[in-house]
Amino acid sequence: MSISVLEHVDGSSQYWTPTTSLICSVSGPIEPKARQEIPQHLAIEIIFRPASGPSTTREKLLEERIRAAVTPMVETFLHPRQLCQITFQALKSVGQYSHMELNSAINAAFLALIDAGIPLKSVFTSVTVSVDEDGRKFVNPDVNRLQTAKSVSTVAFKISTGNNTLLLLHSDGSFDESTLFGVLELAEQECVRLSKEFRKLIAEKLGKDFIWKQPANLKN
Amino acid sequence: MSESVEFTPIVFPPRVLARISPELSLQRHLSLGVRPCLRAFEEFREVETSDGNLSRYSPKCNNTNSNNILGSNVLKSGSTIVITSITGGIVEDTLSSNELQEDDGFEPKESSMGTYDKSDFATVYPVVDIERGRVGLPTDEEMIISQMLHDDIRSSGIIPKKALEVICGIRTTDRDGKPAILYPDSDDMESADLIKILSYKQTRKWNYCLYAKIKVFSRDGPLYELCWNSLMYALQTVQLPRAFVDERATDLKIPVRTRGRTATIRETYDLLCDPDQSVQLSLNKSNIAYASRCGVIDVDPDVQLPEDDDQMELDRQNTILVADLQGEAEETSITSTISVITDADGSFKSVTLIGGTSNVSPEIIKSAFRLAKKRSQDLASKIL
Repeated sequence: MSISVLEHVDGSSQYWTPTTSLICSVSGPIEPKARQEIPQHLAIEIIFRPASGPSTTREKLLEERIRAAVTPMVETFLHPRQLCQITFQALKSVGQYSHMELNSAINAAFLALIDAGIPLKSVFTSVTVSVDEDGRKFVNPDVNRLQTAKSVSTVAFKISTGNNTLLLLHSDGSFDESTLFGVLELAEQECVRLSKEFRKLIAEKLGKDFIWKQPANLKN
Repeated sequence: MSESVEFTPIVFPPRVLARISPELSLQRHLSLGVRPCLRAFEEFREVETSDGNLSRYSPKCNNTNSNNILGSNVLKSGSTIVITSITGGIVEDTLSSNELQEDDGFEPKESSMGTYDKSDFATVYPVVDIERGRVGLPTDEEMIISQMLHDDIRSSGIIPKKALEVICGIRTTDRDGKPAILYPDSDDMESADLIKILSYKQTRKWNYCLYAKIKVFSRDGPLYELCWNSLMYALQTVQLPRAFVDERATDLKIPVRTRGRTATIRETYDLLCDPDQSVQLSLNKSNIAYASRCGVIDVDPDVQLPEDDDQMELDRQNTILVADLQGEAEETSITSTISVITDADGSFKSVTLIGGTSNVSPEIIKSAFRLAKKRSQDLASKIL
């Protein structure tokens, strides 16, 4: 993952896993079109562009799921009548299975929103877990594992000390209740681990952005 | 000295309040222990269902000649009506002939080979159409529901690919000039015909392809679950027409001249559908599951109505589980939802949980699952 990869937008990030890669850009708060304007709070527009071809209903569904995860995490009441535009461009994807793209998009959105300085309520991260026929769980599965998985879940958590809450859960396949709670447990650990990585990355970015120390030539 | 300022509270009739501040109206209702639709918190809407006699294979169908509907369902829930009609097509498989598998039967690979592969399952191609009294491009909601149905039917493994393979028959003309259609899997077949069919080397492979047209009238709340359930009922009524090729066409080869000198030979098949004979679509019965949705909402203590003396403060929970969302107030104000597709025994096919603004605890999720299983049991009992 990397942050601030684009120059002409307020915030951007790139996030990749072995199966997917995408760039996220955030512009906001900007002036909305008249029909997008919401009097009380910030409007959020999410656009997902696929790796090849024009966007289809598949991308519409992805946008809807990303919106479900991202919207409650943005402090929307701070910017009434404004718009925040979050655009994703997939660079690499695995065909029909959209789980990994959803996962990458949520993580990329968090980094890009931080980069753009949009006020957020909390840190949020996401992870995909697949469960195969023997009940083995794999974090961020590859194409073969996705293909042969008995069930696949994408889980996003809102991370705050001692109180992580479930932000989004999207599972399909065949599974039972105990499997699902097992997946949630594993996903929470992974999300917490990922949030620490994000923290490191953001610290690095801040270190580059701002000159905290007095420049050498101004000393004395 | 100081003038007294008089405050007069603004009072709105309930209908107006529900319109201008749905959230407040909902919270006030919840504090009374009832929902705006007057249902209890964990009460689902009654569902009525029938096949509507739309399908050409329906016993009471009026129009069997020009009707191309293979399976249908009409589902009524509250004021909402969902009409699903399933039509079909036949597509030629792109596999080359030597890749054709020899085994027969409808068992998916899952049981025979022991490995689970998503490509063993087929799906339907749904188009959802929500009537709003105007025409135009499909809305986001329609596109999203269609795509979700498409994805979830595939991932739930309800339709094995084998079930959609065309077992092709041959139309022969006997000595008296009487045409007869013979199928390789029919029981009462004379041995001569059997050999004839077996010796005929089929080099092409066809599959049925199912389309679902889902029309929704008087939308009143989230629709995905209603559409899914209607599609589930409709799929269980689907009859696939048998298909055959004419005897004369089986070894017909047409030379096709391409640019240059090379000429290739292409076989042509005129695949026809049998007007009378049909086979039931064999679904993976164990994977049939029904959908339900619950909302989760935190009760806002500030807008609670003052308690009456006779009202008991027994089950004042902070977070309430609301089953089967209905109406604008519930749909817009309840941002946390749990949508579950399951059968009565708790074998889940899909779970979509949106955390929203409420804290969805494992206890809430468990009680949502409990409701979903009960609901699924009830819906399964409505099969005709």
